Amino acid sequence: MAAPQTLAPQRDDPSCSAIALHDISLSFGGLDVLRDVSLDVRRGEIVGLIGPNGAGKSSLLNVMSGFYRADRGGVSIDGTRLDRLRPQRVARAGVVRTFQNLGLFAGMTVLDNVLTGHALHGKVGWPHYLLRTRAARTEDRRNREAALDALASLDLQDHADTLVSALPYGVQKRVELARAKAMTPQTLLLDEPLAGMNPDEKHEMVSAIRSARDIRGTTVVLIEHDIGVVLTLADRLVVLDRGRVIADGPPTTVAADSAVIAAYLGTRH
Amino acid sequence: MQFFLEVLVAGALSGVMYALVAIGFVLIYRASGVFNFAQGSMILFAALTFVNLVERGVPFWLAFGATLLLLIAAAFAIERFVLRPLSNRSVITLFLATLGLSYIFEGLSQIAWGTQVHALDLGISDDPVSVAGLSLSSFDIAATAIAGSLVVILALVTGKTNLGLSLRAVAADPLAALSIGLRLERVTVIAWSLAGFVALVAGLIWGARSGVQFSLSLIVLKALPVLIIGGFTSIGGVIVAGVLVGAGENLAAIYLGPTIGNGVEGWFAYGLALVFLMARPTGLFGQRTWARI
Amino acid sequence: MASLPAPISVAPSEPPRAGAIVLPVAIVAAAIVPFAIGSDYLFGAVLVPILILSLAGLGLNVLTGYAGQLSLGSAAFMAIGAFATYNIHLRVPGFSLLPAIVAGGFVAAAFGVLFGLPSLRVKGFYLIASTLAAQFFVPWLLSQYGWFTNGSASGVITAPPLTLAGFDLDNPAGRYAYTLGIVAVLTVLVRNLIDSPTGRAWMAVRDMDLAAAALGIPLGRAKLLAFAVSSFLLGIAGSLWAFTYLGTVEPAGFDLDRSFQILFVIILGGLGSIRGNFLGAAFVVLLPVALSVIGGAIVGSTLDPALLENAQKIVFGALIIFFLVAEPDGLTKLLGHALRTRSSWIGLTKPRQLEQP
Repeated sequence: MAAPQTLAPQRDDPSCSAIALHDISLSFGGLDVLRDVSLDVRRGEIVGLIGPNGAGKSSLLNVMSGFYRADRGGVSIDGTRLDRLRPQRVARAGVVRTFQNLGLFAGMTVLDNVLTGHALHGKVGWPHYLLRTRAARTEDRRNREAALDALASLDLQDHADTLVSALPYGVQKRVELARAKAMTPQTLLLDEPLAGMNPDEKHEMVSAIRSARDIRGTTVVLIEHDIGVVLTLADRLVVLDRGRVIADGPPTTVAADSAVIAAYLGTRH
Repeated sequence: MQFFLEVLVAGALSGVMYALVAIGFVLIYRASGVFNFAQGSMILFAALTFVNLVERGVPFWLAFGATLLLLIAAAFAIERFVLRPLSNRSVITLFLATLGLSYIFEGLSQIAWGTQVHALDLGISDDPVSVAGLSLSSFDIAATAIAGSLVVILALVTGKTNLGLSLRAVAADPLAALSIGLRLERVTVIAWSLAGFVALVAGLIWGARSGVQFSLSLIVLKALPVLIIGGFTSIGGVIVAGVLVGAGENLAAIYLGPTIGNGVEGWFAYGLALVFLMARPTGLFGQRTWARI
Repeated sequence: MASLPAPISVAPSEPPRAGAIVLPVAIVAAAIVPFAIGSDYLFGAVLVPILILSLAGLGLNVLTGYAGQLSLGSAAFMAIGAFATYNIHLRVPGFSLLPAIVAGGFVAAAFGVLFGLPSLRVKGFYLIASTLAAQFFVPWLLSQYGWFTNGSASGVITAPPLTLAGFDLDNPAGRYAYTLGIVAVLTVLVRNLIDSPTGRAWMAVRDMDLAAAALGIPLGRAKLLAFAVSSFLLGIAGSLWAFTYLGTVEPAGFDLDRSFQILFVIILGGLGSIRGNFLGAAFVVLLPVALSVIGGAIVGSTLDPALLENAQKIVFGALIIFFLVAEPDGLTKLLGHALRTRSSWIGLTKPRQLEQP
C-alpha cells in the first residue's frame, strides 16, 4: 500500500486516500482498546467495519472523528496528516459522523436540526442575522431550501416542523442521516445507522447511503451488526477483534476467512 | 507567627463545620444524583424546630427525636411528590426543583416558628483554651470533635455496610440497581433522611455558635465551593476542602481584608473554587471519567 | 435508547414564523392600550417592572434556556450594567442617558464573557460556582470603592431625570414609554438572533454538545457569545431598573434573591421561549399583589408583612416544583393550549392533536 501522506491530494483520483489511520493505539486506564490499527479508506469507497462487541469499532470511529485522541499514531484526511485532531476541525475537513445513540438535538424541530448542519458553510456573520439584512435573508432562504431537499431525499418532508423527540427511533435515525447528508460531506462515518430499524426502514437507509456515494461520490465508513446488509452494501470489509485488524478485503473473501469466523463464534486462539 | 497559626487553625476548625454541611449534599448526590440546594434550608428548619420545642419545655433528646422524625417525614414527602415525578429528568431540572424546596422549607419554618433569633445552649462552653501554645476556642474544638465523629460514622455506614453499597449502586446505575431488586424509592428516602440527620446536627452546632436564625439557611452558599473543591462524591475530599476553605477564608479576612476591603470572606471561597475548577475540573479527589460516545 | 433527554426541558420554541405576526401585534398593543386605561400606579408599579424583568428573563433565557448554561448570577450583571451606565453618564462628556445605557450593556457583556470563561472547561453545576462568584464579588466590589457610587456615603446612587431628545419623560407614563421602546427593540433583535445559525448553535450546545462539535460548531465561541448577549441584556435591564423604575439604586438591590427572581421568571414562563419571559415576569410581579389582596380579604385586615413574605416563598417554591413536574414548558405552553382551544371553538383552526411526549 502506498504511503498516502506523501501523495498530493488529487480530487479526481479515485485511488486517493479519503481518510487514513497510521498505527493507532489507544488505551483507557491500562486497558488496550486499539492496538496498531492502520487503515486506508480510498475516496468513494464504502467500508464496513465489523467485529464482536468490545472489539474497538466505535473507538476507532471516535479517533477518526477527533473525539478520542490516540496514544500513538496519526490520522490523515485527504492525504494531509493532522495532528491534534479536534471534532470541529474534522468536520471542517469534510468528514461528518453520526452517533450510535443518536446525535440529534432533542429540543429542536427536524428542520432546525438539519439547518444546524449548515452552520459550517455559513458565510454571513451573526450581526447580519441580528439585523435581518438582505444577505442574511438570502442565505437563510437558500439554507432552508437545501434542508428541505435533504429531508425530501429521505422522505422526511412531512416531519419538518415536528420536534425530533416526538418521532419514533427509526425516523430519528433517518433525520440524523439527512442532517449529515445536508452538510455535503466528502466522508460519512456512520455508527450503526441501521440499529433498531425494521426491514423496510433498513432498505430505505441502505439506498440512501448508497445514493450518497453513487451520486456525490461520498466516501462511507460504517459500523454495522447486520452482516447480511453489510455484505451487500460495502465494497470492503474491515474486521476488528480485541483492538486489532484481523481481516481487511472484499466482503466475500473476508466472510470466508477462518480468523473472522473464529472471532465471531468466540473460539479463542 | 503564633497569630498566623491561630488564625489558620481557627479557620480550619470552622471549615470542618462547612464540611459537615457539605456532607449532607454528598449523601444525597451519591444516592440520587441530585444537587440539593435545600440542604441549607433543611438546617434552618431543623434548628428552628428543635429550639422551639426545647423552649416549650420538651427534653433535649425528645426534641431531637421529634425533629428527626419530621425530617424523615419530609424525606418521604420529597421522594413521593418531587423526586419520583421528576425521575429521568435532567440534573439541572432536579436542581431547580430543590431550589423550590428550599423556598418551601424557609417559608414553612418561619411561618411555624417566627422570624426572631433564638439562642441555643448545648452546654458546651466557649472559653479560650491553650493547645500546643495556641489560643483556641473550646467550642470550636468540641464542635470539630462532634463533626469529626459524625463524619467517621457516616463514612463507615456508607462505605462498609449493605446500605452503603446499595446507595452507591443506585447512584452508579439506577436501572441495573433496579434489576437486582434494590428499591430506588427506599434508598432515596434513606439518603434524604440521613441528610436530614446531618442537617439537624449541623443546625444545632451552627445555631449554638451564632444563634438560630434565618442566616443558617445561607450556609448552603458556603458549602457549595467546598463541594466544588472536594468533588461531589467524596466525603474525604469534602473534609479536606472544608478545612482548606475555612482556613483560607479566615486568613484572607485577616490579612487581605485591610488591604482590599472588608467582607472579602463573602466571595473568597468562590474565587478559590474557581481556581481549583480551572486546574482540576473534577475536584480534589474526583475521578476522571471517559465519555462514552 | 430511543429517548433523547434534553439537558434542560425546553419549550418547543414557538415557531419563529408564527412569532413574526404575534410580536409586532404585541408591541403595538403594549404601546396603545395602557395609555387608554393607564394610571400612574399601573405604569410605575406594575408595567415598568414587568417589562424590565421580562428583559432580564430574556437575558437569562438566552444563556440558560437556549444555550443550556445555568446561571445563578443574573443580578450581578444587572448591577454592572446599572453602575457602568451611571458612571459613563456622569463622567464621560457627551454621553446622554440612552447611549450610556447601551454602553453599560457592553460593559456588562465584557464581564459576562469573563465569568463565562470557566464554561470552556466545566459543565453543569460546576458552572454555578462561576456565576455565584460573580454574584458575590460584584456587589462587594461596587460597595467597597466609593468611586463607583461617586462618593455617596450610603452607596445609593440617584438617577438623573429622564429625557429623550428634549422631551421630558420623567413621569410614570413617560418612563413606561421609554422602557417599552428599549425592551421592544431588544426583543425583536434577540428573536432574530435565536432564529438564526447562532440561535441554533446555542440550542445544539444545550441539547448535545458532542453532536454539535461533530457538526463543526465551535462550542467555546458559542458559549461565550451566549454569555455576552445574555449579560448585555441583563446589563440593560439593570440600568432600566435603576433609571426608569426605582430612580435610585444600590448594590444590595442586586442580590442573590434578585437572581433567583429572574430564574423564576424563566422557569414559570418557559425555558427556551421568548414570549414566556413576559408571561413569567407578569406572574412574578402580580402574584405577590394578588396574594396580599386575597390574604387581606380572608383575614379582613392587612396581613403581617413577614407572614405575607413567607407565604409568598411557599407559593413560589410550590409553583416552581409544580411547573417542573407538570408543565416544564411553562406558562407559554399553557397559554398556547388555551389559545388553540379557544380558536378551535370559534372554528379558526382545527384542534391540533397533542404530540406524544
